Amino acid sequence: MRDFLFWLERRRWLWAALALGAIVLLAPRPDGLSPEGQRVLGIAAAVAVLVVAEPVPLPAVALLIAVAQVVLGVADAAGVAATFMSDSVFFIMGSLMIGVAIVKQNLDKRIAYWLLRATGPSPARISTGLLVLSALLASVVGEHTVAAILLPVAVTLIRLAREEADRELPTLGALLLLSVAFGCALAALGTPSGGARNAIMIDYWRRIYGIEVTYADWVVHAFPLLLLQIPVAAWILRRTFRPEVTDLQRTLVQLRRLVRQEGRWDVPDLLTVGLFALTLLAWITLSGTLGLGIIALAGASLYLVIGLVRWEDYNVGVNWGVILLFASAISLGVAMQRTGAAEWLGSALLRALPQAVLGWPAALLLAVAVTTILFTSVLSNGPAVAVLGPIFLNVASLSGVGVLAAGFATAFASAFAFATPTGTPATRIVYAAGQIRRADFRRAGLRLSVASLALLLLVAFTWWPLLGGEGAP
Amino acid sequence: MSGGPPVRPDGSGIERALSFVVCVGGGPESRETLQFAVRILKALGGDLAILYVSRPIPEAVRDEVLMSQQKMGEWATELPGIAFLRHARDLLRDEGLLRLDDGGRPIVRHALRADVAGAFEIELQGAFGDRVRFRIREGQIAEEIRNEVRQGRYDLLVIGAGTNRRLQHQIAQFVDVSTLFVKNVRPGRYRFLLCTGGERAGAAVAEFTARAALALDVPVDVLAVTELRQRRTEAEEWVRRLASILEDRGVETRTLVREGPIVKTIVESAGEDHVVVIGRSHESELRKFILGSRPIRVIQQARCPVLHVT
Repeated sequence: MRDFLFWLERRRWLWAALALGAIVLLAPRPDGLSPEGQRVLGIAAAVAVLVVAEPVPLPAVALLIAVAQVVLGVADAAGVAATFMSDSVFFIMGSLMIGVAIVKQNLDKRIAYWLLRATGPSPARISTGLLVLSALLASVVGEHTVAAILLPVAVTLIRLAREEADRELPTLGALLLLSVAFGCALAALGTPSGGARNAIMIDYWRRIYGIEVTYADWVVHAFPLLLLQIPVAAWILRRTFRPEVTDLQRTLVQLRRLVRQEGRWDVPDLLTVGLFALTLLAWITLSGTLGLGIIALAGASLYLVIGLVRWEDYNVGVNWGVILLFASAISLGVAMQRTGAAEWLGSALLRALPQAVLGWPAALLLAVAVTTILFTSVLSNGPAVAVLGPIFLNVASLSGVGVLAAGFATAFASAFAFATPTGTPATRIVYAAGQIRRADFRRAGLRLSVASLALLLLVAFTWWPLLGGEGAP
Repeated sequence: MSGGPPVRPDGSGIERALSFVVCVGGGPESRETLQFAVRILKALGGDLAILYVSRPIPEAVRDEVLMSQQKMGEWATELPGIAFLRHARDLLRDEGLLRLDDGGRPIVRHALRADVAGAFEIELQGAFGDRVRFRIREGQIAEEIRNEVRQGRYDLLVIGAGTNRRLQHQIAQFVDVSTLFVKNVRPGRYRFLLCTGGERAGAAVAEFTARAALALDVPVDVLAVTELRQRRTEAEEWVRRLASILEDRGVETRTLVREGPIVKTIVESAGEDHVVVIGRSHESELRKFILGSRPIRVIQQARCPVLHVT
């Protein structure tokens, strides 16, 4: 009995998810919502709880999404299978594989060497250097990869400084770790390869509205925002955390000694960087014709063919369960659109919004962005965009706001959940190192979230209209 | 258990080698828990395992976190669990609980390795031939402690009580070992407050208390609480029975009988200068799961350490 009760206790969020799903399924069906749409909403409600609380492994959630769609009559097996695989899923898969190939080389020590040469011994300058480097790298390589590469650099700096000072240095720790976390998190919006949810949004535009957004299209919309965010984030971090020490000269000497043992750049290092540059070039110039996913797979394959990585590296290093989760989240989003659930929810949201918001696109974009941040603060940002994307695209379409603008606002705002460690993959990775408190995220993160929202609106209403096309709000 | 029954410096020894597990989380309260455990261990002797349960890695970023941890190893940077266990090792060394080599370094029985029970472990040589192990697990804390206790066959779990009432409930109900919940530790001598508030007199708990009280050289207050005045005589009988067990073993004992709400009266009687000793509730597991039990509420509300005897 006790074992059974403990099992019940451990799975309590599973029961909560099932109960919530059942409530949505069995509730009286509102006007305008199809029976299939109601079932999809029931699945989505249960999935949200399962993704937040993780009472069962995430790949199991992904599998259950497929099973539930067929069992509840939302789609047939072939239809569900078709929505699970797309160019965007290829893109997510290929990007993660390329990330593993990059992490496998010891680029972190070389990167650290160049960074510290540029910044010198000032903690504030090192913080800004880490932030800028994280942001620029993560915008193209992906936030997961860069966080995994640069986190050890920051942790090592903190350790050496602590040993040097012979006392704990929590503020210095928070400053340097959050520089990496926020740099990676905010940069994920910079290019489609920055984060998986960008690929999810590109998929929705294509499937639902037939709009093709290339790598270059995304970059011209997103990069100006990123370039504005970087100095603001650096300023907020430096204002919030004033480190206990002001000179890390002796720490740097020790770190340089560690880094120097690595020796000069060798051929595999250069090939790794060269191949990634080639892939990036292909994304920018050829994604309109070949598709983002095929180029990513080509890059990942080349690393294998040349021998820079082994399949075992991909097999162990790539989180295949997360790819499955993203694929299932896209499938759920497509089902929401196809059954009319997204449109019904969009209409309901519009009815609930005050008239002033409806007549003012800036307010609508702000509402979309704030809702996305709130969702992302508890839900992993990929699934959050997958579920919210079709709803907000419908809201935009029904209210006359550009669907590209609403999509960008949703995808970008999913990178703005800085106030909790669970908001983005990069913040989760940094938090998992166990050297930073939740309160540190809150202190600096809230300010950065508010500033990012303001910058988003600024860019949306000043820069996007200049680009022409359908990007204007 | 290797090493045989420990022999304390005064040569008294104990009936058999006890086995302790001290669970620490790395925060400031962990140091307090560890220091309190050391006080007990020095008195009782026995094998010791120090368990660090790190917070679970979110599955969505698990591979990246592991990659990052691997890189930290390349930078010669210790993971947080290792760093805390190193502090714990230093504390045990300073307290004379570790056998040292000629260079003053603890003697390592085996270096860090994974064991089949799902933990990573380093083992050192204890000062009196006993085992001192430093173990790391990752996951949900109650589940990992439960797994550890099931696989390790410990006699006593020592854990910082903190403020997490759900965790206290989970440990008290689902972990099958006597558990010392450490909280609000203060210097100086404690008294045991052996509580009996129910229908059964808890002779086994009294035996356990007698053994601990003798080893630690602390007096015991035996407390019976009754909610009904007409049951006072019965309560006095419970107290007499328990006190006689303790006195037969040579433990300095005082008896107390009080009327009032049981949990509140125990908590108030204990104050901050007792270690409450309380037996496991005999209510149904389902009832405890849903409503809790008196011992669980005492653990949650007490302002002093609580020893929950199974």
